[in-house]
Amino acid sequence: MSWLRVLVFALAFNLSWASKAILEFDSEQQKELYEQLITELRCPKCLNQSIADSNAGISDDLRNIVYEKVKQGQSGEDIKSFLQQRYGDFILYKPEVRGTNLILWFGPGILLILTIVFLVYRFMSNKPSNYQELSEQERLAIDQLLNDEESSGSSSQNNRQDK
Amino acid sequence: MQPSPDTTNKRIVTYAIPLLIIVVLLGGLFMSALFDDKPDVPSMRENKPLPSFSAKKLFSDQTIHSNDIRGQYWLLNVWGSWCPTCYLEHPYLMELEKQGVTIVGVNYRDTESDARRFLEQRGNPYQFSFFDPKGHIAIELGITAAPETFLISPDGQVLFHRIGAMDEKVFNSAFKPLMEASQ
Repeated sequence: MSWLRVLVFALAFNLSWASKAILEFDSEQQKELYEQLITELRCPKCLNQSIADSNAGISDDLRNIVYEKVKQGQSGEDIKSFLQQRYGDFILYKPEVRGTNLILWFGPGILLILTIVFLVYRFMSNKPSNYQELSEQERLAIDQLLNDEESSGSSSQNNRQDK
Repeated sequence: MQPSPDTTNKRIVTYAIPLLIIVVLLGGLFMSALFDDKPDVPSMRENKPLPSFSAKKLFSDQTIHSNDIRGQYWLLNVWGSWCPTCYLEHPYLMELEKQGVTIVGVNYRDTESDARRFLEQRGNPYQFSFFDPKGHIAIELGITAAPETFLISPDGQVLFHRIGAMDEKVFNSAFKPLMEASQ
């Protein structure tokens, strides 16, 4: 049944080959730009996939339009701007540093800095966390103990000197 | 030695109140996301003129233009015979057409033979359809999939963009008030 194996292999090979269309570019830079753009653009149908990874119909269309525009010699910024006008910032995995996007860009850093400042302030504080004021009664008791200690200490010293 | 009541109160203020604030904020965020019915992708075409595009008319060699969608309220419906939700919403589009609502189609990622079979079996609610097998019009409109429906004003403004199926509830709550507002 070797002919059957050959047939199965040939079919599988052809199918995997056919699943990805072969794209031709005028230069290596164009190819790199295309590859970079399709990984930086987000599929509008599926939430967390780039159009490079997604099998959704709209991702296929978006890859095609990116390819057409790269072939026409348009810049990456022009192509992103074209799609941004139609899908908003959602389409960009790297949102622009402006407007409400500033929260996305700098919010986590600011939170981290605030947390560090808070923790440093806590650790630098002289008071231990379980510090508590002594009550008057406790203070008197400690004084009493210290006085007793001192008096017994001085009497034992006197005893040694006497010897 | 037992901590004094003052110390306990200080601990509550130091730890429990910030924790409570965080829990309330996260809870609010969670609940708002849970009940938020807005689509994730913003509609960039709403309240702007319908973009200019032209394409072959479905089942014809004639070229039609987006400027042809003028002079009255139009529903512009993006559909395809491959799309399961289009089958679900189709009976309601037929009903709207009977009520006198003018509907234009964008036949998206389809073949003419499949589109013809679909309309012959289920009826044709469209005045005409743009044939968009490669999705150029779809991207121009900023759609994410099919079906999606736009409300176009008589002067060619996009008044509303519905992502998902059209039904009576959606039409009465979102489309009809806008159509009646200027009449």
